[in-house]
Amino acid sequence: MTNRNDMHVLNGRAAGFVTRLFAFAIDLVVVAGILAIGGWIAVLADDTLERVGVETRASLSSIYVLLIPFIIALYFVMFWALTGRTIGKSLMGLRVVSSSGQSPTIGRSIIRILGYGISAIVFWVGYLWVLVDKNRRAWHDHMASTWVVYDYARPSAGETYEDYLEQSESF
Amino acid sequence: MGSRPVTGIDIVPPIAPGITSETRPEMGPEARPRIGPIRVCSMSDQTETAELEERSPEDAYKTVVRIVAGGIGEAIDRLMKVSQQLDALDHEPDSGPMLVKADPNVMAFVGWVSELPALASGAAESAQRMAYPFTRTLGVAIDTTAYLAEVTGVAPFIAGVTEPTRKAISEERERLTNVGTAEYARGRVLAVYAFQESTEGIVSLLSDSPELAELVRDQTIGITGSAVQEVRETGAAADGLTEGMFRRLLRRPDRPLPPKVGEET
Repeated sequence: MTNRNDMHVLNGRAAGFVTRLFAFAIDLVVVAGILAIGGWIAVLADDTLERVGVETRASLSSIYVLLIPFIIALYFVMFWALTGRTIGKSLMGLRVVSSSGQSPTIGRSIIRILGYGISAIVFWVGYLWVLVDKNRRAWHDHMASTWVVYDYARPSAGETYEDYLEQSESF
Repeated sequence: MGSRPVTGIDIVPPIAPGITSETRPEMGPEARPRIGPIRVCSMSDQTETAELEERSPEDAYKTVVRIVAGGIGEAIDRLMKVSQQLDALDHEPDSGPMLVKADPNVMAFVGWVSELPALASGAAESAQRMAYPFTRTLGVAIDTTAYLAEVTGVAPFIAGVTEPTRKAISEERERLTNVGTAEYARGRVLAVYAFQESTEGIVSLLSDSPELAELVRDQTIGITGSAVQEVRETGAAADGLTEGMFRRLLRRPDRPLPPKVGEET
């Protein structure tokens, strides 16, 4: 069992499969909630338009269904690019960083979300690759040159992530 | 007893119910042990030959006591013998039920004991039968008294005298019932108000006391943080276990810590 000191030692090191899976599951729940709220709004809007007699060539609900993949991608890309961690990763103490230790750029984040699909194509082998990869990286990590690391506390204001990691090492 | 000398008591217990010399020949007359004759004066080594009716009342009393005492002593002796016989019975533990020798005396004693419930039931029935006339008489007496009281005007008189009291008690009972009902309803209303007031008090206490609110918030955050910390620790431990398992499958050496960012291994 990893104790608290061990967790500080793990800071900045590549995260394993189980923790990443938990974080992803939490993210799926969050995304499902967001999509449910959006769907409810779309249905409500359709109903309102119908009541006021506005005729549209396509219902908002059907447009919303087409937008679902983009909403999911937006959720992940936005969080990765802005903070390096989604809600699930934040709860599990994980962070997505580039090889230089910085949060991934929008471009890398987009590549990474596209890599999600590729990793899932062949029976999710791309995700399971974390279990056998020497650096605990999945296919989408290799594509986007990103790492998923343990990050049990955020760097304070004005402190870079590398400085924070150095302090963690000396803990 | 007539002129028969009081020299002992013949106790002849009955056989078990349903067992007669016809159904169980071996349990015939031999099965009826004749306990006695008991010599009344055997305990004092004197032979009592006097007759009860020829004695003075005091002597008769003493004689009866002697008879009873002697009978009890003899009965105890008999019971001890029966107990010894029961102890001496063959008993094979692993061969089913206990084997009992068909000793006539033992079987007769068992039969006698088995009749005790019937005897008790009969005694109770007799007592009930004896008590019936008394209870019946008592009921008739009560009915008669009530009838006489009614006919003679005593009952109406008593009723008239006690009517105001009875009416007052009835009114007081009704009043108390009404008061109790009203108090119950009022209590429920007050309880709701009290709950609302206490809730508002707690809320105002929290809002007026930043320290307390901060304390509650810190406690909540602390509990949540502990849970999250626990989940993270468990996840990290599971990461290590799964990686170790797969590294052993791939025949790779274990490593103490996972790689750092940019630290290609």
